[in-house]
Amino acid sequence: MLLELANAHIIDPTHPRHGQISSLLIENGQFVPPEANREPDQRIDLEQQLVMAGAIDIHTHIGGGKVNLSRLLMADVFRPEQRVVWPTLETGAKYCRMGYTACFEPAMLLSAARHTHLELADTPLLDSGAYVVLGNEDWLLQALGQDVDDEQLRAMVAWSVRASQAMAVKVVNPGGINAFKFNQRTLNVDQAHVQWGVTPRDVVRRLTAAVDDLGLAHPLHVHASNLGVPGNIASTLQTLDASEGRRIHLTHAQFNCYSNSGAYGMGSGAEQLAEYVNTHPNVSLDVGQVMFGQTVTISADTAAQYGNRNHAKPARWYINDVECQAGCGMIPIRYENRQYVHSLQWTIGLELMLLIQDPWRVFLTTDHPNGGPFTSYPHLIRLLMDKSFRQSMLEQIHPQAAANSLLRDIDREYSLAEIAITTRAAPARILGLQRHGSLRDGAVADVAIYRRQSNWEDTFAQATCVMKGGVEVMRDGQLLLSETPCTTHRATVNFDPGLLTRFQTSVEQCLRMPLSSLVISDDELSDLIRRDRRLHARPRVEGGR
Amino acid sequence: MFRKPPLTESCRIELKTQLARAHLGQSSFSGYDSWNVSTTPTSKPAPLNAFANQHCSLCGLMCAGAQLHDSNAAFGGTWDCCPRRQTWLAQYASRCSSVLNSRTSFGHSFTDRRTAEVQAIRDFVMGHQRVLWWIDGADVACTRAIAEITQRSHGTIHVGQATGATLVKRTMINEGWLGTTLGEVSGHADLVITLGDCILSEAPLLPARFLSRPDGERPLEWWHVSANHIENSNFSPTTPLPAQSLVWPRAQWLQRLTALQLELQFPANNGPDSQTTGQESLLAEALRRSRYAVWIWDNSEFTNSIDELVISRLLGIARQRTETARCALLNLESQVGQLTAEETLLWLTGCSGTATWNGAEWTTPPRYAAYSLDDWQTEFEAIALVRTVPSVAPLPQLRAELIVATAAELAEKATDARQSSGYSIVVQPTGYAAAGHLQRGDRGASLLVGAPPSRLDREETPADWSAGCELFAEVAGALPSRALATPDATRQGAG
Repeated sequence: MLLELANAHIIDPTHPRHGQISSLLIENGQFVPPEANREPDQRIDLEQQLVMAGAIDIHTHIGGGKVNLSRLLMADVFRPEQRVVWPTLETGAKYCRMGYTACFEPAMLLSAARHTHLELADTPLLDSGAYVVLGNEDWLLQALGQDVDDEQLRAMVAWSVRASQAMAVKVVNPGGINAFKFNQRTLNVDQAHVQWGVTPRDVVRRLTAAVDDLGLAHPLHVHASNLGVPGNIASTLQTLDASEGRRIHLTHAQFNCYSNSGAYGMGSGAEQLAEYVNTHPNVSLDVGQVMFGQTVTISADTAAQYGNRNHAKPARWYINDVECQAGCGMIPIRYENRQYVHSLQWTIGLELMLLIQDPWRVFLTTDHPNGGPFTSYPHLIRLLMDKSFRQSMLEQIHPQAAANSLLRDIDREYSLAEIAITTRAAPARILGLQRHGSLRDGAVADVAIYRRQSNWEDTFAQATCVMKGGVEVMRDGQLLLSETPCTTHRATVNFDPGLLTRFQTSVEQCLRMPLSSLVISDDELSDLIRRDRRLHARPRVEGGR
Repeated sequence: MFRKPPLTESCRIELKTQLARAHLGQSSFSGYDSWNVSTTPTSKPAPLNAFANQHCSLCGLMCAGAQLHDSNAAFGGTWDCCPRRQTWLAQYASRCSSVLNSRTSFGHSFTDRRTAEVQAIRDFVMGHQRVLWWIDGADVACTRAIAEITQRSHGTIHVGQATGATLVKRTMINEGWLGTTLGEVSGHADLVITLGDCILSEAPLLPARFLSRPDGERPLEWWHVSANHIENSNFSPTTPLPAQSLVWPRAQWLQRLTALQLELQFPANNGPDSQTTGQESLLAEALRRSRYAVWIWDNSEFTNSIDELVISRLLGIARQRTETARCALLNLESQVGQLTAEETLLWLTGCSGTATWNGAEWTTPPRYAAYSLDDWQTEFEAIALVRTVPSVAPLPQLRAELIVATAAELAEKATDARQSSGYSIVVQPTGYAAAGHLQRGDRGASLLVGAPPSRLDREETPADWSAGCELFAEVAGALPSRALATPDATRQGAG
């Protein structure tokens, strides 16, 4: 069936008719060019509403053991309407309502990969994928400490990606989580791990190279050392330097962007980091914007979370070491605009987004739920697009944070095109999703349609219509179809299994289980992990290379 | 009346062989009419470790059936040496036979026809207003399907009565938590203290798999604290034994742990008035020496309010030690089917333990937190009891109108339920003749059990005994659709 979206205000800088009122044609789940003498079977008049590709969140914690534990930890705190970590159906519905059609879980441990995929499979309406966490395993650090050769390292990384059916590789506090298990409480970029002798710089340098050489679409996704520590901007820039010019993605950059000057010994490092990104085309980042209100922070970085436990609000916390791979730390927190540090964090995220010139290399995230829930994205978009609104909000934060912020002098307002890039086209590009994030002919017809409201927050809070693969799944906030087939994106990598002998021995010595236990086969992913939700519609599994 | 034949050693081998064949899809095991307990000696028993991804679900360790990599063979990893598994295998066989031979004599009406089973469950759901799905053990897919049925029929799901886990949950919420997993125990711990009389019988291979290290590696010191002496005769000669075994009367555990914590906090306090004994002092010294200490216990052994204080004290010790070193807690859940169902329910509904679908969202009515078995039975018009994951624990003493369980569980339950008028449906046990995902007892890993790669396609699954997930998925499909969930559009959360 040929469907025409007529009278559409096309918002897609990659589309030849960007900014124009025009028609889009959809057939077999994708956009198609017009054909002479062929009339559409169905025509929808959009009355010049804004039409954008389905949005993509490249960093949102929506699946896996840590997310579930945070539900458990907070179950008695929140009434259902107060939650910030929702059950899977609501997560899918809330994202869809805002026009998002794909989300990526950024912290999947090998041992918990099945759990992650199972939860993602139960999150309807969203294509998904996950990044496997590496860089704190005993076996990997030991190998790096013994200067494992590049080919073997690539094989270890490739095996991890394939075994966990991952989309990309993430490193969290390189070596630092493992160091904490050996009671080494800090690990700066050039400091040697007390057990393995390796430094965070070594870990980042070797893994960026391995990821690059394997041809993974997404560069190494880096949660840098010293998260949340005043003055960490220095180690953040050192971490980026460690990539030696290779592609590298700094995640939730706001949390790694603090100077040690200013009130209370803590200030913004946004200008330094933005300058670095503006002059280093190999670097991209997502922001991890803090939004005021109650949330719960969840991270594999137990070293950082252990340090934060005394700030928990309400006063409860959970720290867990996990399978010689990483950890799991949960601390609830209430970001308050009267609090200096929280206000500073709020300004830094916005400063980064407004000072980095290339919208293709900066991504709008709250590191859900760490900086705030993803449902605050419309508010964040308004802060970026509306200077007067931003200034009015600036007046409400801690006065010292406001006084020192660069935001007072930044006039930039994001355009609709830039919003389309940072939430659609750029995430698709950096994840290698060539047929997503766009309205061009041949692209998957994931569509979000918005009616202009009196402000941008209201406009983006709820799409009037969301389509998944050309099928309308939500209209005016009402879920029409929850069982639409969704895609699990994962990377395709090749490696020589013969190179894994030593690796296999090391892993099995640590975990006391066969290496094969960790492998998720293609059949398992498509038939067992997803099958009972869609018995008659086998989901697509798509390579992300 | 069926009389259980004596189980000779050769019989046990035959049973193992049948199970192994069932794993491989070679046997007639798929239909229980073919089950018989052979006493014929077999000369060449098939190996149990026939393919990868086989894991035992009878305790929190979830041991893999396949051998580890050659160079790690010393760590074990096979099932053969597990007394718990051997016992269960023997019981399973005899109970299956019992079901076969007695099925017409029970009050329940058994059926092995899938369509009739689906119809029976559908009728059960449609025929009652207030239905409680009591999940005593299920894999992820099974729990998903039951949640869908519950949502379509506006019912309630309750996962077991895991009081041990509840105590841990409460302590975590009130005081925080410093936890760890089994891999960390084998990889990083230098001092492990197992606590309780059950832990070594609930997880028999714990010492062999996780508390021993090859020569030349960092040493691991193992202490065991229990109310009774360890009977060395219960262990095979190759099983490692604790370096120190302390016997503390059960009633004194809280007092002793309190003294231990004080000893750690105030070492100078070890004078004539000190509450500590020589044992606590030695243990305190070992803790002080350690770089990464772990306390391990079995959830099922800590269930009352005093036990909650014991757990709190362990957390206090862990917190105190972690100021300068590392110390962590590991509460092992032996009912992996229960843990898995709880986890799945949590992500599907956001509710812990109990979830009611009220037509718009999942909630946990607060009053359920204190319900006893009797309360559940009076609250609901009908109860469906589900256990599809093999376990050595008995089923709860619950009057259920519908029981969906493996043959072994049904045989056991049937003896209590002769007067009951309800349905009993046999399903294939997850991990043996049906594939499924289970959470390991330490929450450290999620594993696929019972799934040879060649048997993943639905079409190849034997049909006589349904896999629980397939049965329930069909039931969900057979129920009329109700309005889809549409969470309140106005909610924006924090921020």
